[in-house]
Formats: sequence, C-alpha cells, structure tokens
Amino acid sequence: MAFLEIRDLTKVYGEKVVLDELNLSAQDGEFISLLGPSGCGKTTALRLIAGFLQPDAGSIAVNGREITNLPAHRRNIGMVFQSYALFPHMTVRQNIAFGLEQRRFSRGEISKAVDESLDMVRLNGFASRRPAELSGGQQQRVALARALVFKPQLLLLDESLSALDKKLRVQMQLELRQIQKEVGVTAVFVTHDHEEALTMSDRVAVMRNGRIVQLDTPSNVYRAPVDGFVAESLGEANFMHGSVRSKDRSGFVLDLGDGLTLAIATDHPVDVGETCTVAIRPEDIELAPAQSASSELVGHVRSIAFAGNTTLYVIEALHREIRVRRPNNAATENGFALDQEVALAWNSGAALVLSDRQGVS
Amino acid sequence: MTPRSWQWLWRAWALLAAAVLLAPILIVVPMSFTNSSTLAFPPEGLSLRWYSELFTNPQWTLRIPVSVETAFATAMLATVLGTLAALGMTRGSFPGRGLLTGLFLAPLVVPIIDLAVGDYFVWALGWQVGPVGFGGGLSGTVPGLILAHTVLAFPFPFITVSTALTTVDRTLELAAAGLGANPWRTFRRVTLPLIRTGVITGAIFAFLTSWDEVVVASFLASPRVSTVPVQIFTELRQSYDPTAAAISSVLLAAAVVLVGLLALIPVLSRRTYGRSVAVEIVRPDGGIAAVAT
Repeated sequence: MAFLEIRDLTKVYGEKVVLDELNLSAQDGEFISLLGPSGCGKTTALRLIAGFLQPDAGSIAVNGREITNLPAHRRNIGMVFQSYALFPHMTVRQNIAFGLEQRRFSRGEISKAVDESLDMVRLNGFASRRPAELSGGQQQRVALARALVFKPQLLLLDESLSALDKKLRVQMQLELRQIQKEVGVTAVFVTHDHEEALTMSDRVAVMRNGRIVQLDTPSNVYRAPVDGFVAESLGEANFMHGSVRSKDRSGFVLDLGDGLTLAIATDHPVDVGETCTVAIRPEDIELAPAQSASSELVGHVRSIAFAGNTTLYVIEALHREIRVRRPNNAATENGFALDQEVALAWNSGAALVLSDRQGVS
Repeated sequence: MTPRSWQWLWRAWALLAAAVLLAPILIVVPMSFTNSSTLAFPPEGLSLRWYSELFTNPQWTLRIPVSVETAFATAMLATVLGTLAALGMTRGSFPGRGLLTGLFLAPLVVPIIDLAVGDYFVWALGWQVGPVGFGGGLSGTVPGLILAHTVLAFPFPFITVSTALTTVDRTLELAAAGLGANPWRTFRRVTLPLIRTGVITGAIFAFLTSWDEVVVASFLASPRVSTVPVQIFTELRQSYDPTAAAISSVLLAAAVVLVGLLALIPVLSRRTYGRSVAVEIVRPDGGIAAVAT
C-alpha cells in the first residue's frame, strides 16, 4: 500500500462537482504535483487532504491510517500556503515554534528544533524578525520551515511559489526540492505552472474537471501525453487534426483535409481511416532555408520573436500557423528573415500521436 | 473674499462650535474647586474641600464602589458576549443571521426609557409566565445594574470586534489548525491577538456606557445601592452642592484617560505588529548579499 492513498475522493458544491472520484497514491518520500487550470479541483483536493474541507465521498489514508474524518489539527500534515499565512503578530522564531508548542515539546527541544530548521532554510539571523520585515523569498522559507519543523507525515504546497518573481521562483524550486529530499517527506504540490511541475516533481498529475487525466513522470507526461489537453497543459504544441490515409512500417500519412497531407514518422499504432491529432512541440521542429533542404514541408516565416535563449518563429505552412522555437547560442545561426521560405523537419518520435476522444480543436 | 479670509472664517466657526460643545463640560471643572458651599460660576476662592468630601461623606463613599464595580463587570461581560456574538455572526452561516445581527444592535436604537422600564419590570419585579419565573429581586443590587448595563453596552464590543474580525485573514486560522492547534488554541494564539485592538476598544466603550449611565440606573437604584451619576442627579435636584461638580470632574477625568488609552492603541500595536518594506538581494549562488529594511 502506498504511503498516501486517496480513493474516490469527491467534493460537490451545490450543482458543481469540484472533485469527481479522484484517485491518487504516492510512495513514501515522493514529490507529486497536481497541475491544472484554475477550477480543475487541485486546490480543493489539497484542502481535503489537509482537513480544511470535508469530502462528500471517498477516503484519504496516510501511512496506512485512515484520516478522512480527522479534524485538521490532528492530522500531522504540514502545509505551505500561497500567501504563506505567517502569523503577523509573531516573530519568525515564534512562527516556526508554533507547531511544536501545540505538540507540547519542552522549551529546550523547541529551541533546538527551531534553530535547526532556521539553519535548513538559511535564515539564522532572522529569528527575531516579524514576517512583515522579510522579503517574499524569506517569508516563503519561514513558511516551509514552519511546515516541516514538527516532522509532518505529509507536506502540502498550495501554489506556494507563485507569489515570487520569476528568478527567485526558479531558485526556490530547486531549494524546496532539495530540502524535501533531505527531510524525506512525501509532498503534494499544487500548481498551474507546468514548468514548475515538470522541474520539481517525481510524478505529475494533470487534472481537468475534478479528475486526474494523466499521472506519470515529468518526461512521460511531456513526451507521451494521453491527449491534447495534457499536451497543451505541459507546454506549447502545434496540433494537427486529420485522418489516417495510409500507413507503413515507419509511420503513417495524415490527411489534413483540403488536399493536404503530412507524413508522420511514429511507432504509435493507428488504423487506416482513424481520425487522430498529432502534436509537435515548437522546440522539436528544425528550420532550414528551403532550397538547401530535402524536406517536403516548406512554409514562410510570418513573425519572429526574439526571447533571449530562444527565438519563436511563426511559420505559415499547410494553411496554418506553425510555431517553431529555436535555441539561440553563439554557435547557431538563426538568420531567418521575415517572408523567407523555410523547410520544416523533425526527428521521428517528435510527433506525439494523441487519441482523439479529447482532442484539442 | 480671498481664499485666505475664507480660511479664517472657517476657523472661527470651528472654534465657536467647539466652544459651544465643550463649555457645559468644562464649566464643571472650575466650579468643583470653589470654596463656597453652593455651586456658582465663576467659583469663589480655591479649595479641594469638595474633593475630600467625596472620600468622607458616606453618600459618595457608598456610590463610588458601586459605580466602579458595575462599570468593570459590565465591560467584562459585554466584551465577552460581544466577542462571542461577533465570532458567530462573522464566521457562521445560518438562516436568520441578519435578523440576529439587528437584534444585537437594537440597544443602540431602542429608546433608553423603554429599556429602563423593561429592565425595571424584568430585573426588579420579575416575570412570571405560568410556573416559570424569570428575573425579579434584582432591584437595588449590583448584579441587577450589571445585567441592565450589559444590555446597553453589548453593541459596542459587538461592532468593534466584528469590524476587527473582517480584517483577519481566515487562512491564518487554517494555518494554525494545520500546525496542530485546536479551535480554542487557534482563537487564543492567532485570532485574539489579531483582533485585540477591537476587543480593547469595545471594552472601553462598554465601560463608559455604564460609567455615566443615569436613566436605567435610576430605575434600578435603591436608597442603599445606587450609582454615582444617579446620586449626582439626586443631589442637584435638592441643593447646589459643589460635591456634584467634584465627582463630575472625576468621572470626566476617568473618561478622558480611557479615551486617551484608545488613542494610544494604534501606537502600541504598531510597535508589535509593524509593517516595513524589506528588499532582498540574492546572489547567484543563492546566498543573501544584502537586506535593506
């Protein structure tokens, strides 16, 4: 049995089913992200685990013990809130000590544990500050220390990094993950930022309409999404919808309508006549001047957006706009100009063939 | 007229208004230091004899403890009840919440004479509905005065605490629960410190409500147990005894001190619950290079 075991968890508000028989299990020490757009139920799921809400059906068990009907203060779960929720009238030390005081540790033990966790989040000199005197990143670290100091069974993180600016966020992602590994605590992280979910997690649960659509490792959800929703949730993609005209050992030919066809190299099993959606990530597409390439797919550069380490090209080809993201470094030449004719190509396997039940239009 | 002369005109008007409002209050103070045996303005001579009268004449030495006890107990009771009611109204959601809130505020709008008459019938005479008796026998007792004044004072802590509660981030209470604090500990350690200003303000207003209340107290007073304001009223009807001016000045001083305390609260809380902006500069290796506050 897994360390965290969620079965058929359901939460209904009036007519709206916010969480629809959610199932999730996590191994001891695992870091799982719940990723999805707002309203997909990810925060509700977290609040149910924390005990701030009561489910309408289903069960939650941690370490073999059912906690579904336990009040929040008896669950022994650490939580970091989006707003940090540090107690403004207490110092950093008092904030961190709070959970230990509730567990009636002796003054000496509390003092020692608080010092250790201040060490862990590198805030040694800040014990007597008030939260309002700290920067966002420091507040974040106090919140983390406060949530971990009493050695909870589970760590819950509710969009905990979204209030930070981009640079600090990336740094905190790494720091948070490192601390989580050191402590060895099982963590459930709610986020709407796919990069964050991919960077930090052992496994990512992509959620939609109160259900988990796909739960897998970051590279699998990114490289083998079960449908267009997942593909789109995890980053940019060019979607091409059509029917399979013919197939051979190396792949198949997709009929895009209007007399347009596209050869797709894949080992994904398809049937002739079946409709499907093919997604290609912008960074998987290579560009070359049209005359020098043997590619049969050519288009015209319609816009160029320089973004530092990458450049985003919008190419008009196959009667549609295809986004292509190329890396910029000193060695690469990205000398494509507006309206230039270019050839598009991608490695076999770059085309993600998606089941069509929930294709993205 | 030039803008400047307009300004002077407004200032003069404001001064006049202030003078009219303050004169009846301030006239009492110099009168209390008179040396003559009747109240008069301007006072004749200068003496503290009427103040010493307060501590020797049983007429006053009996009333002052009653007033102080009543006001303190009223402040306590009204603040506890008002805080509980405010918690219920802001945190709970149940049918009839609006109606109940209206009832809680009713003592502010119900004519005080109605309350006094009602208090007299319930606390002094008692209600007998079939076999069930309620109240009665509380005329001329301190508990009777406390109960009656608590009704009058209740809306103040209810309002101030309700207002304070709306500023408390509910997430903080969730955070406390998540850290293992039961509901009582959460209230005691997190909610209460954050609404402290509202609670203290409400308590001060409740105290003052009882401290200078005449109407209800005179209905419930007896010759043996009565409050200072009722006694002042009785005295002045019989004679122009300057002791009344002395005790009025004392009441005024107490009120001024309490309101002064009220003004101090923000200063005191800013010390403990301050806001300042901190800027953190993070070095590329993750260390903190500088923190400017």
